[in-house]
Amino acid sequence: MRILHLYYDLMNTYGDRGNVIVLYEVAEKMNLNPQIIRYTVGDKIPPRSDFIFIGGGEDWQQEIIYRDFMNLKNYILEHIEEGKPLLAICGGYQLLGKYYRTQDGKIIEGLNIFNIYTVSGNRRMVGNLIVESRFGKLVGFENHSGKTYIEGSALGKVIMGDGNNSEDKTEGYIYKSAIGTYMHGPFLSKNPEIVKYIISSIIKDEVNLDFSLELKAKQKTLQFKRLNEGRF
Amino acid sequence: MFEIEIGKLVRNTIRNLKLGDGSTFAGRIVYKLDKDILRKILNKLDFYILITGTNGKTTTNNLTSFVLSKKYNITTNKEGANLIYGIITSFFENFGNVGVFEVDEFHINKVIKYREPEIIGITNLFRDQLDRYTEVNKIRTLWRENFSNLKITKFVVNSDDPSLSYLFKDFNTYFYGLELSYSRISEIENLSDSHYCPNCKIPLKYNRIYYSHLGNYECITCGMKNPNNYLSISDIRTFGFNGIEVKIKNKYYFFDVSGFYNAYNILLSITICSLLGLSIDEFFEYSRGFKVPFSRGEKLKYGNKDIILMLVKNPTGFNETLRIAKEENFELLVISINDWSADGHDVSWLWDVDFEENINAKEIFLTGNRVYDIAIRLKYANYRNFRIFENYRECIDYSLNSNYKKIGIMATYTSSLLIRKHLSKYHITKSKLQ
Repeated sequence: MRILHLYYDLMNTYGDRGNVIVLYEVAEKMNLNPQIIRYTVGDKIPPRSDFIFIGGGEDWQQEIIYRDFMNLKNYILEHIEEGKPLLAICGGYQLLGKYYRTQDGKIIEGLNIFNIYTVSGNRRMVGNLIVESRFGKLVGFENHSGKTYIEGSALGKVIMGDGNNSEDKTEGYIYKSAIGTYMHGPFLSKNPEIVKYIISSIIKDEVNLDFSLELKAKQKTLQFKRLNEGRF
Repeated sequence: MFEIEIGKLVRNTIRNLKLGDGSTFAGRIVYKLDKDILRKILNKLDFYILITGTNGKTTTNNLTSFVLSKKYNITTNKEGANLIYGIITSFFENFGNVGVFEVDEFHINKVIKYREPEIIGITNLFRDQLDRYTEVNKIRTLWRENFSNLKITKFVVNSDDPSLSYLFKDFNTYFYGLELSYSRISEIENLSDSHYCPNCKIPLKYNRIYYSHLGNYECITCGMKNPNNYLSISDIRTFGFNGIEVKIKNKYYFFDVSGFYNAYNILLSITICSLLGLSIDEFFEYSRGFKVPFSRGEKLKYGNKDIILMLVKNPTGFNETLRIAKEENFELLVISINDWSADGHDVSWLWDVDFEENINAKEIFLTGNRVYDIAIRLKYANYRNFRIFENYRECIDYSLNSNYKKIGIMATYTSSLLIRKHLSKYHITKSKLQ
């Protein structure tokens, strides 16, 4: 099983690599012989892979990868159209859309694979995020100012937090087996339902592993406030 | 001054009523009464120094003020209360003629607008509490915009951080850095944010890597490389939690502060003092008896147990703490993770920490309100001998009643305060580990 980690050294804000670690370890337990291919700007276009991951980055990092990423369009498009899984977080998610409109009205074109667009907002959306989805409840943490508007299927409906744009209660996007989300960092670590979905769509079989610790963590997270505070 | 008297009164009242140590509250009250108070008191000083950056502020600030107190009457915020209120409160403690303050890296503009500091010392810049700062680059931008107005300030800056050396190249800067003949780690750490050339945006070529993105670097396109150092360290010997030895100008000096990263903090402190006319030997002499600040490798003893308290705040610091802990061979590690404001609400950063290579404890007890987050992280680092405690008191009680003799406690800020408070119920003494 080949895991392609795009721009591992640039699009890696705050623990995004956790998703690759989780998928690798699960695949390892299932004897799927996982292999991580790390790709960054200027590398040769990689061989076909079973799963693609791209994380988020700050503006300067997105500027660095931009041109290179545009060159991967056909590669990623074919991957997605074949029904292979992909996970894109935050900045990576935005770049798969039609465009990103900056504060001063400049349009930065995306890969135009996801039917979404993003406009720069002036309020930062930060905090624990809980959504209801066809996979069950999903939990994570969001930290973005871009507001994304989608046409097509959302990953889920916001129960707590802002999600795509804090207006229409949608969070994330799903097209075939490709998922985009604002739940940044180690999204897969507390959402084993998505791990199962990704692996099942590769091996066309069920995943039978013990995820009780992860589910317990999710249960705890469901009780969290948007921003936690304790007492001394 | 009238305001100072009020401040002292408020601070003493808080302490007498045991409402806390009053390290920020008194300053806040006085600031409410007089919004211009900081201008007035800063301008009464002969000169003042600010220390800022992601990691190492408190240690550098405490060491610098400790050394300079042998020569000057110092006002300093040594409790780590590093917003303006904490700085104001420190004047109620002692109104000296020289100020040495640590200041939050995202807050420094609120201090320097009242008076230009004579010296600003910068430790480093790593990803930290992104739920608050949002992006590392925001801090660089804030510094660039605010520091360019300063006319007399001397900057003392870490030359091994490419983004800092680039940012400060046009300022009145005295660089410090390591000039080791070897690399400490083989690869740029995952959490690095600044290993691309700030000028050409291509990966820098590293000849030596010390930690995170700090090292000896060059850009093969524009030629950017480490600037010349005003002072440097050419060798470092670490001894777990029993101090470090640094070689400066062909002479080794021993300091009772632990961890490779502290070489940078010591060097920053020496460079600042050197700009004030102290020789390195004088600095070393004056620093004798310096104790590490609260929870930064603090050594305690309970019965036959040795306990070391370590603060973990961000991935870079956590990695470095794990590396010292590995040298120290703890039998039991306690890791406590909270997600309150002072810790950072987002604990995603745990996945940037390299637990995979850096754990050798027999068992780990986990706690904090984010106990399950750290548990999953360890599970996926293939470390399974951990135990989950939803209640931190129970976790500490269990640790102190265990058979383990050597215990390391790693905790985020708020949880370290809670644990410290709970430990005070036991007969704990300060110890010198042998």
